[in-house]
Amino acid sequence: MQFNSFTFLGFFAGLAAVYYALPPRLRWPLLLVSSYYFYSQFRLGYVLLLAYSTLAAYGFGLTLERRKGKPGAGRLLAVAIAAQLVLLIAFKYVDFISDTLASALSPVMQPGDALALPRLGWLLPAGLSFFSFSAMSYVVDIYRGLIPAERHLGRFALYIAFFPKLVAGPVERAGPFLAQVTAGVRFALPTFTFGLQLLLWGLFKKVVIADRLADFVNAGFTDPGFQSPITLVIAVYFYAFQIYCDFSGYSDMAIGLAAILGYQLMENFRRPYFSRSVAEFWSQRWHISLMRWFRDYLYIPLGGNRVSRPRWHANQMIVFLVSGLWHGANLTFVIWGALNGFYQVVHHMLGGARKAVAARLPSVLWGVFGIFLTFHLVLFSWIFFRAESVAQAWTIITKIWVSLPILPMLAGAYSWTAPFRLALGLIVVLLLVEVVDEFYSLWSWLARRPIGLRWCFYYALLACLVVLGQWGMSKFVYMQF
Amino acid sequence: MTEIADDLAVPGPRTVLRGFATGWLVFLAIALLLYGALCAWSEGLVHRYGHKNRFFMIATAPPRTYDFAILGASHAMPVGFEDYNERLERAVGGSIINLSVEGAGVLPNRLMIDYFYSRHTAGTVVFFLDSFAFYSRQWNEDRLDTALFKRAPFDPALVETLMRYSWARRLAPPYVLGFTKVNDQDRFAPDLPDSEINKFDTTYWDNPQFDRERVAYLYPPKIDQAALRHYLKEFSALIDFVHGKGGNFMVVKPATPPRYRDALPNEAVFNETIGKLLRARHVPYYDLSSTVADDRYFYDTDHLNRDGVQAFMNAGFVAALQAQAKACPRCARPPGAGSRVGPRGGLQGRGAMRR
Repeated sequence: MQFNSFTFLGFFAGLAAVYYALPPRLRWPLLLVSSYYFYSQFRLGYVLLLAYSTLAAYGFGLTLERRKGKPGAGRLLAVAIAAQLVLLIAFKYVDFISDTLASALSPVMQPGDALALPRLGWLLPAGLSFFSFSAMSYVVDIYRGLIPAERHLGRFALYIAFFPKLVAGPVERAGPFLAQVTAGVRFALPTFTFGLQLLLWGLFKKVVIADRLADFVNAGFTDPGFQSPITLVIAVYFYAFQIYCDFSGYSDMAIGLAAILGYQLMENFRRPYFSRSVAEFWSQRWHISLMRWFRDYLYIPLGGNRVSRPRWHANQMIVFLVSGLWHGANLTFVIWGALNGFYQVVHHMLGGARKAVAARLPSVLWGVFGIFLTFHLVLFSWIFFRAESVAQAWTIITKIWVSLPILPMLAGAYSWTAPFRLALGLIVVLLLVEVVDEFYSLWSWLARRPIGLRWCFYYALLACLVVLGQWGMSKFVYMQF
Repeated sequence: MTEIADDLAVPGPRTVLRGFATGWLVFLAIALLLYGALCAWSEGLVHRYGHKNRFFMIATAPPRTYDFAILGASHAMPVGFEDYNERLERAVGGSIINLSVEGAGVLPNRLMIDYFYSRHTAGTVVFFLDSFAFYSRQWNEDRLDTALFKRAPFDPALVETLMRYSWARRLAPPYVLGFTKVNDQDRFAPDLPDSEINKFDTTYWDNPQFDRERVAYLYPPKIDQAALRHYLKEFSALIDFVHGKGGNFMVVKPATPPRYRDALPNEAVFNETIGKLLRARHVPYYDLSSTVADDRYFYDTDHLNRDGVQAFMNAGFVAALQAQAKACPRCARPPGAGSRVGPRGGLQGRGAMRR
């Protein structure tokens, strides 16, 4: 059941009606049952994994609280984390390791001797990387004494399984979420309205923009060797906006759905393509919940920046390599992570030079240059993120590179079809909205407008959804992680 | 609802609730009105640009009896491109309606002919036989998607037809609500396939890789015998349906190049199986697959271009239709009447004369 399907929207409308008709004390059980039902729609058996992850984190959480400060607590934490990691390793990494090893050893094998390493061939359950990370952060927070262990299994299960965030985040922390469950949800019209607004905007980004751009992106990334360089350039640029609209659209919908149900989830995107540096892009604007997770549970335990300079850079590389592997068990993701780690390291190594140049340039010009450079660095790394293999990514890069001198001519000859013009127009609309949102909160601004204007805005969005929306069975990109 | 009222931490919760509910109702009412306007606009666009859409052709043509109704997938479409349907009518000397749809297997064709019979009749239903249509859901249940109905004018008869089949019922709500048309992304373009607009005059340049990719696209990686049996059963039901309506049924195997035919999986077994089925039902079968072989007659791996259609018509298709018409002049076939099955490639059937 995808958020961008009529089945889900119907399910959610019915759920919201029943939810608010129930007394507040019965609302969280309804949400828990609905969340498990929602997850069972992907594959019934995966519910067992969700239950396992929940029970393991719950049990270890209680034990860790009892053993806090006592000898062996650290080992217990390691076991608690391993209990979550085992799922990720089994479903996500065993086959990758086997394939990589077999491929690496094949040159030294005798011809005809196939290296038979074990492969499980299991499908990756939707959202596994997200809910196992939520479970891990919970046990670590208890170990650190940041939160008490939740004694109510049902409420804790809702934290792990809450369906708006279950399959693609945000990677919510236990503390703020469980506090909301315990306090109980009261209907609040502003929150409800805000939720609807975000739901609409997220849907717009997904079904109107992202899925429309997907046609051009798929055209370029399918057999790139046979595509013209201009098709590849368009595919690469459009992919930057496709993945942004796809993932931030999902996050907006998740936060909106939660708000309709009275819950507040953490912000996940903050107009990332306006970042002035790659460091800003990752630390403050793109997939904020995951990058904060890596900061709090990997980067800081590694020593963060309070270590020697080489060690600090190594820590940055480690975080981004792990982030790459988190996205997928494929060399393309490893290279994507390494590239972004490399950007971070270079960014910090050139700190002094950057400041010197910035001091001599008008701040606006420096800002625009920073946005332009950051966007293109990220764009380059997205090629590896989207490509099915390193060879495919390399084909795209080399083909564009050797055609750079003739690209303007090819662009001039490119057929500006109606779908292409519409796709470009939608990107312009998105950027305009984001520019406004960068300076004023669009939704707060809208809330202060007369009802007629607000409704016109909503009707325009709804009309775009039904007239321009690509309502297929298109999945969200991040659900595969 | 009382709970919502209780939740509202402001004075006069019932008043606020009433205002909230009224606001929602007004918003929804206006939204429905706007949606209705969108539906009307989309319906207008269908009537402006959808003239060659098969559902449009059926819905808008005055009720009549055609001599031939052509069913099939993309191999049957070129004989209806541009003015070739009229040329074919002149050559055969009878009226013809081409209802073939790209990628349409047995089930979409069943739906199409059922809908056709709700308004019209045909002396003979001509089925262009492609084996890929019998192997997977992709060209049957899955081919019946909302996109298929994006140019179908609103017609209660089509709703009835959709509701009649368990595999088509799910399409009734989006069709009735007009969503298939409101959401049509190509709303301003004439409803013509890309092959008719851009490829019909081109010539194929042989590339074995393209043949392999084409076959891999059309056929499942492994032939599923259960699926084959299932769709053969549906095909038999389609024949029985046409016979039940008093029409004749004839099968034509369209012209394809030998390099393509040789690459088709399980084709010999399929030919034998379908031959048996057709003989048992006394259905005339014209194997015209090898009548046009040269690559210059194809615009891609397996579809006839302009010269190819002309060659195909001259090489046996027109003769087959004429023979069928002669055997059964403007007839509707009485239920129970049989046809003779002869050797492949020639006239094999004799439909019973009407009255």
